[in-house]
Amino acid sequence: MKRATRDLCLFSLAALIIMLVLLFTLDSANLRVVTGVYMWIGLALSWNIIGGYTGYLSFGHAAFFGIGAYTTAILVTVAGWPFPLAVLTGGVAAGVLAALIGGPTLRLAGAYFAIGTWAVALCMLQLANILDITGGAYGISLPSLYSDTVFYLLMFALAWLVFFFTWHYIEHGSFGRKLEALRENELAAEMLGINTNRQKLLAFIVSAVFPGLIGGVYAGWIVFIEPNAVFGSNINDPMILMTILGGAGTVMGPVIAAVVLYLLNRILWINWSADTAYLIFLGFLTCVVVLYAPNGLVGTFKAWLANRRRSLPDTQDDEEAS
Amino acid sequence: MSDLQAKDLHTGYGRVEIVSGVSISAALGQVTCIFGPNGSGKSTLLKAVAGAQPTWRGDVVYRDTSIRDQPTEERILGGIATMPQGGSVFADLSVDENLRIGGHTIRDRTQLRQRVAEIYDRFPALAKKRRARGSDLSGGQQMLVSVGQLLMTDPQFLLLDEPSAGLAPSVVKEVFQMLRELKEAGKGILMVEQNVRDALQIADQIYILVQGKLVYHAPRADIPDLKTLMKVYMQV
Amino acid sequence: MDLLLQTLVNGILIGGVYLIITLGFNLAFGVLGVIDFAVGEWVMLGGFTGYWLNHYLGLDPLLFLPVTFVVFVIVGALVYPMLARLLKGRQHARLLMVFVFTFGLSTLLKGGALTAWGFNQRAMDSFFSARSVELAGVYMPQIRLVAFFFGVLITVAVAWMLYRTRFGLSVRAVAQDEGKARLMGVNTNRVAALVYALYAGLTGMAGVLIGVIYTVTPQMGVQYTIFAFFIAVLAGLGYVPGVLLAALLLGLIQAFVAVYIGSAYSLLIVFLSLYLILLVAPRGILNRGRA
Repeated sequence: MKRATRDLCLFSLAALIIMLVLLFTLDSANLRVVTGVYMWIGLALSWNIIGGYTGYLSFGHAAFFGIGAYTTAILVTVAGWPFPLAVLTGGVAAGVLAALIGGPTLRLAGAYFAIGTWAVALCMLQLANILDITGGAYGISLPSLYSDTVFYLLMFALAWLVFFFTWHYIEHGSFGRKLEALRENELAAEMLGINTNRQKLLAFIVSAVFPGLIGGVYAGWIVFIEPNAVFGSNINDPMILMTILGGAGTVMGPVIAAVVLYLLNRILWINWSADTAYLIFLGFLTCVVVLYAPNGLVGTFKAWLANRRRSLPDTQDDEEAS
Repeated sequence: MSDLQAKDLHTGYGRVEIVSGVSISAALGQVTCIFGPNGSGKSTLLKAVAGAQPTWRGDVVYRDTSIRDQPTEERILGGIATMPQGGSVFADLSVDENLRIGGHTIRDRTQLRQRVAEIYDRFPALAKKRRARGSDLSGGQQMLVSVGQLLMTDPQFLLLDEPSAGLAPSVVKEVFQMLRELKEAGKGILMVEQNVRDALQIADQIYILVQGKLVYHAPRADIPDLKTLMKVYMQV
Repeated sequence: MDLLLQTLVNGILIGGVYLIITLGFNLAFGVLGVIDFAVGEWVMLGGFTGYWLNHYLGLDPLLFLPVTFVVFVIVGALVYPMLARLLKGRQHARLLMVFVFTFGLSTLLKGGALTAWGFNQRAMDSFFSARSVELAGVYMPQIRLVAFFFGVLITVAVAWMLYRTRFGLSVRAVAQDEGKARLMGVNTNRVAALVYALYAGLTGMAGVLIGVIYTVTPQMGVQYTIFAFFIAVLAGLGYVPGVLLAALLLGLIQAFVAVYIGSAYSLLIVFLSLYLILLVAPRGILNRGRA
């Protein structure tokens, strides 16, 4: 078995055990907190695919979460579809939206791409506010379909799915190598025969489908959605900041940051009912990390490890330019 | 007789060293040329002397004082002006504004106006174009403006990065004639060139830089002819 | 006809306020190459500065415009070194990192304001607040007129600075080619710091005006960030004269949509047009910006 596959299995097994232990030991309130942790791991890892590995900072990923949530909610309440099918359709809807806007938007570089995607998310937010089918600002209430345990398991499954995809196809797969090549130098990647437009679009779509699915499950779990709750900055911003804090373009960075930051959010909320203070932490940490550790915590740690390894006694293959 | 010197100068970009321990000297009333293939570090060396690029190690000495830590502004005030590759004309500024920005270090308004007028006297062709935007000028006119910008502060030393690049042959001739006149007027000229043939006509001293290191130096007395120089060039 | 004229005037008047924000914003972009995500938070904090000064001192909030300007010039001067540090960094995506930094900054400021002041809207009244002028059947609230003329005044002052002073010339030179400007002896770092401080000061003042016209709330920032982006993109990023046209256009779009389509659609149309302009004309409608 390849080392990457072995590590993946070990990690998955550990995650599964932790998940089960938590499931049987935690009370329902804490179980909901952990469900939220899984959700944010999934969202941060999804964003990481386009924002971290591909280097296109999407500032509008809430659009995909929201369209998944709304699609699911509408299909369940209006059309009476079974929930699983509605969630899958929500994921498809997110993918379709990404495919539609991806082509033209991915031609924009740097901050222009960020602004463009942000504008898309804001458009979706406004649309949800205006349209009848979304219930406008009043939102949509869903029937309570399953127990919290089911949503706990569903969120875990989705988070694991994104993790698996990232690990297998990106961190240790040729798709990821192509993405990283185009992130470092798009022109050079093109020269190497990589169809950069196609790869970018694929990455964008994949990174949109997962939030779409997660948004769908979220709608069923929270049973009430309104435009700001699913298209707003409270969904949009943490995805970006968690990934950058943890280390964009690493697997573990977004996972660790999502766990720590979402727990921080809940602790602040439960003890001081201050979820706005969370923004202070997020913002402050982002500024500090961008200034002093621009590769994120895990990225910086990795670089430090590599440096240490290089400066060990055997200096004969030291490649210092003479 | 060396008024401007780089001593064992090291510099580069990021972590990559481009210039590794180069020592050169230039004197007033002389043209000092630095030749070398693309990427040899000659432009970077010039920038370090101009103050647009930090000197990592070594020193830049002007009139027996170290100027390595002086910002460009102070070096200009001290009499060292620089023209970057491709000239220094700002496309969206008028000729007048281009000259005034060339004299940015002159704080006195009257003096600035006077200097601009002097440049127009010197280059009557520009006086007619004073309102024209930089991008509307021909290559030759842009070169005139660049030289005008350079002379705004009445510098002692002119640092030029490939003044002939991209110019029509007839204009190149004019430029070198202009440089010859400046030299004869007592200015020191330190320039980087690809156009070895024309530069040789006015050079008093030659350096050749390869991969950030000095490989050849010919002082005033024994400047070789083009053929000999080319032979040297081929060998390094 | 009256309605049309009224709508036109409404649009132009509010456009004057947007002008103040985006002149500085676009200038800062031109010189630093930085797109400041926190622009809306400077508006918000400016509004609160006016509000609290008015609250505690009781004087007309408009009297605090100069104080607010000074306060935010100082704030800008304090923030700039961090941007400069990032801009001198070695990674290839420097500008993107600056963008992320300002995004973090905006999150921090918004979170701080929300934590300190809550979600409530706060209103402050000026001498001009409840008065209006009627001219040829067109009704103009005095406060909006004052804000508009203040915007025009600022525009003239900035234009004078840019086109008539030594500093302004160096600003334009740095915006065009930093390397060349440095070789001319321009202290590019100082120019950039001053421009950023000026931009912060102007934006803070705009916040006071907006706060007097509408209300202030810690959440108001985002809207002005997107307005600033909209105007700057429409004008062509870094192209300052285009701002005049774009700011008025935004005011007009909002006014007309509100009257003829419904105010609910106003933001949607702004966001949608921002997106489309980015795709179709990334150098702005005048094609003079930096893409």
